[in-house]
Amino acid sequence: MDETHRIFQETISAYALGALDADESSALKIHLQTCEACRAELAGYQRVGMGLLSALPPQAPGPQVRRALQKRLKGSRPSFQLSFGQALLSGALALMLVLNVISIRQVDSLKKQQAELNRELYSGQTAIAMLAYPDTQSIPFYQEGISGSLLVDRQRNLVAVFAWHLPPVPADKTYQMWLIDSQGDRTSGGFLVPEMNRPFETAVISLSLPLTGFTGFGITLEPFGGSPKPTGPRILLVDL
Amino acid sequence: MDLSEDDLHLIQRVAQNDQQAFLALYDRYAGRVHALTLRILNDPMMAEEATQDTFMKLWSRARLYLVERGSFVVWLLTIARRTALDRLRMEGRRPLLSDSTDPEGIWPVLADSSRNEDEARWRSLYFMLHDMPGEQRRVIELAYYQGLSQSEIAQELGWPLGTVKTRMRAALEHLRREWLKDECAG
Repeated sequence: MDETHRIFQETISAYALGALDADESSALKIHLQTCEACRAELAGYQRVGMGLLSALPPQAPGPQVRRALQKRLKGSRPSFQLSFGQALLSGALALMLVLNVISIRQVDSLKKQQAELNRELYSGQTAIAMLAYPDTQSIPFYQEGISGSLLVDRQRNLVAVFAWHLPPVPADKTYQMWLIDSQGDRTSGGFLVPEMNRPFETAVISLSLPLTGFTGFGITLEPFGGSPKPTGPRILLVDL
Repeated sequence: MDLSEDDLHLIQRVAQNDQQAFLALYDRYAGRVHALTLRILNDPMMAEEATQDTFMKLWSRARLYLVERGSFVVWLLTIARRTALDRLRMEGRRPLLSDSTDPEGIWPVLADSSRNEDEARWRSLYFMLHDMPGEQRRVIELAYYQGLSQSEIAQELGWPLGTVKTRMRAALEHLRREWLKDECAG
């Protein structure tokens, strides 16, 4: 028998009990990787070790241990651990959810942009059509740096607004248009939303009421979402 | 009743956070776990704490148990031994465990002792240990139930290291030969 092998063989039993000192243990581990006979011998000693675990006569702990465990179980659930596959699936689902949310938001944003472009297109086309119509009245205005024109079609109850150089509006505010009757009452005509990088804004007011009942047009700065009646500072006032 | 299959069913339910299954395993094995922690710690209060900790580890790690790698009771008692010896270390009474006692490390070479799970087999090993010469039994107990290395045992008992090695080897060889002979015969 090889002398080195014999020396290692003598340490196997202690290794099985975890009683070898660290340096001997490391050396034996390396030897075990290449020595089948020693691995077989180790297995036998380890069975003895496992037997020693179970060899002691059972000795029940006090009932308070069981009660304490039940209390600890109620207080702390085991950490929820996912297998790799479950974690991967969960991650994929979470990613899909995030992408869906992003997509929905993008679709909503695109819809809003589309609606705004449609509104602008409608306003522009209507305003051009009104310009070409012989009975349209044009009312120019120039007040406090804001200039432009109102195109008024009293037969169709339409008012087109061309306003240049409106000041930028704060994020929590909006420009609201009003038509003013002879009693001074105001009827909302909708909103003007200045676009970035564009010096003018166009809007068309289409009334269900006869336009002949109104004598003035105004713009005020209102809280975002608008007001039933003017509450903010006046930006523009034009006689019709 | 096939105990190992029943254990497997319970451990699978524990892995799904079933408290009733957990308590069933506790009722079945608390005596074994507590006997081991008490033997190692030799302090009733600390042993009960270690028993609690062992079962809490079972609660949180149940899904890590793999039936193909060994019997459940061996897995549980290995956790109990480790927990109790770590407690000794924390108390400053004993050194760190050798990693060869790590349950993950020894499992691959273990036979499934559930085949030999009858009390008589374990009891016979217990009596074999007690029937040994005192100096041999002492080194086994210090190594296995106190987590001491051979050089620490030599220091503890005031024996030459070579004597400790010889007695430990003789003791374990005797246990292996006699106990496994019974297993082969049985």
